[in-house]
Amino acid sequence: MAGVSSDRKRSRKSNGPLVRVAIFFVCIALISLGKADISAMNSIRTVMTGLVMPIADIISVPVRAVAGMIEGMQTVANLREENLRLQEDVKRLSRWRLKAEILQTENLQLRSVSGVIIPDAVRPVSARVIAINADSFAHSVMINAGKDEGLKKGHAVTTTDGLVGMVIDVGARHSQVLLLTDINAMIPVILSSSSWPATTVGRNSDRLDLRFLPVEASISIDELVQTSGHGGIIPPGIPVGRISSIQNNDVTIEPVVDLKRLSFVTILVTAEDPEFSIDDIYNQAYSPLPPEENEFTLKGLNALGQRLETDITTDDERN
Amino acid sequence: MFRLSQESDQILFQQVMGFITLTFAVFVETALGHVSSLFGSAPKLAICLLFILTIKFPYTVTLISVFSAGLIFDLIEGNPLGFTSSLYLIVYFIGEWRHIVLSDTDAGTIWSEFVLIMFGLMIYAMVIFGLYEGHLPPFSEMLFQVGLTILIFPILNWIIDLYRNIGLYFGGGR
Repeated sequence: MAGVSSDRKRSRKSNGPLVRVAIFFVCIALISLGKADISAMNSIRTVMTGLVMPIADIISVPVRAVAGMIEGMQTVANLREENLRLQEDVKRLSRWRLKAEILQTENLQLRSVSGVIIPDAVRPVSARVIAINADSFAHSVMINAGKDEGLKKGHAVTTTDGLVGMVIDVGARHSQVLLLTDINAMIPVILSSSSWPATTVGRNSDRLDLRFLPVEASISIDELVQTSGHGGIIPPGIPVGRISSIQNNDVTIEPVVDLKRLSFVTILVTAEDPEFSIDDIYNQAYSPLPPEENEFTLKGLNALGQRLETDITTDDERN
Repeated sequence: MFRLSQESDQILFQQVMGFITLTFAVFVETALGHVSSLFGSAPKLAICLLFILTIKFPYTVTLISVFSAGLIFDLIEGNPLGFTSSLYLIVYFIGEWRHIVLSDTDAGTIWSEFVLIMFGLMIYAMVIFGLYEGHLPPFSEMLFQVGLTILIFPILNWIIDLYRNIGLYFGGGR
């Protein structure tokens, strides 16, 4: 026993106050480095997460099973009520389907007339959610798809209901998805009925804020908000949420996706590289001048806005 | 000499077991996020366990295992690296400082100290998060999480006491 005591004393001595202070400052330094967003640090983090995630996935299996059982029991209890509601929904949706078919035909006709560029087809990739945030400091989830499945940073993540978030970190076989409720998530959106542009901002709770809405915009409760596609990262037309409250200038949105019950998600893998450069976006979004250098828009200037060396004069001036 | 080596191995084994227990608690805590009602506010099991272990089995928990467990949590949850480690280290330091007093006191006293620690941690977390993100985290969710953790602490304490008493009964000592 004396031996154990002496060992314990030695063990205690080795963790002196200096070591404790040092390790605490290591933590603070790590937090600061994380804020600095150093790429080497991010790479190390991605590799380490890849090592840890398989264990987290295995350990979460029984918890998911228990959670599923509890939710299953709740579902049985509410089955009758749910059934009646679903019957109503089926009737309503069948009317909407008819309307949607009419609108789809009309939409195709209008596109053929106005020459709208339809973005390249996206390839949907399904993935299972293997870790949902258990903390209120970061709203993110881990999914079991990564570079091997063609995922890249910036890909939109959805369910059948609407937008979940976007991929922010990609490992070989896992990815981190920033949920749209995270404090760092800002999604460019439009109001579906009036097409006013705005931006949703997460606040680490179950609601979103709607910001940068023009003052003259008219909004109503329960109005659908969908992605606008501005910025070129998230495709347009994905439902984000519905307006749940309007108080003075504060507009709150309830996400259409139940982020608390995520189990499977679909990642919209685009054909082009979503790790965008800002120049590409400007070029795609706005190209005011003709592409050919020898074409000119204003007298004496070429397509790049440079003054032409050759003198261009009109017939009247020559006469 | 042989006896001393054997006892060192025993301590090392206890420390490895302490690390495994703490890491397992971290994994279970992150898995609790799958329960929809605990979304974003799962109880901090690892903090409960860390405090109890530091008081009742002080030499099973090492600085490096506390630090590593925090890092694992941050990796899975997407928190800033080092954030949870710093929370765990605070609990560990307080546990080490108070273990002589608390190891022989009743469960109620331990619980009341844990309540104070949890509220202290909540303020610390809010300050660090506020400095990092420039916003304060949602107060109600944090309060819910702290409340759940405080409620779950006596149950974990009871389970570990039961384990210790069974060990004492059959093994005659820790």
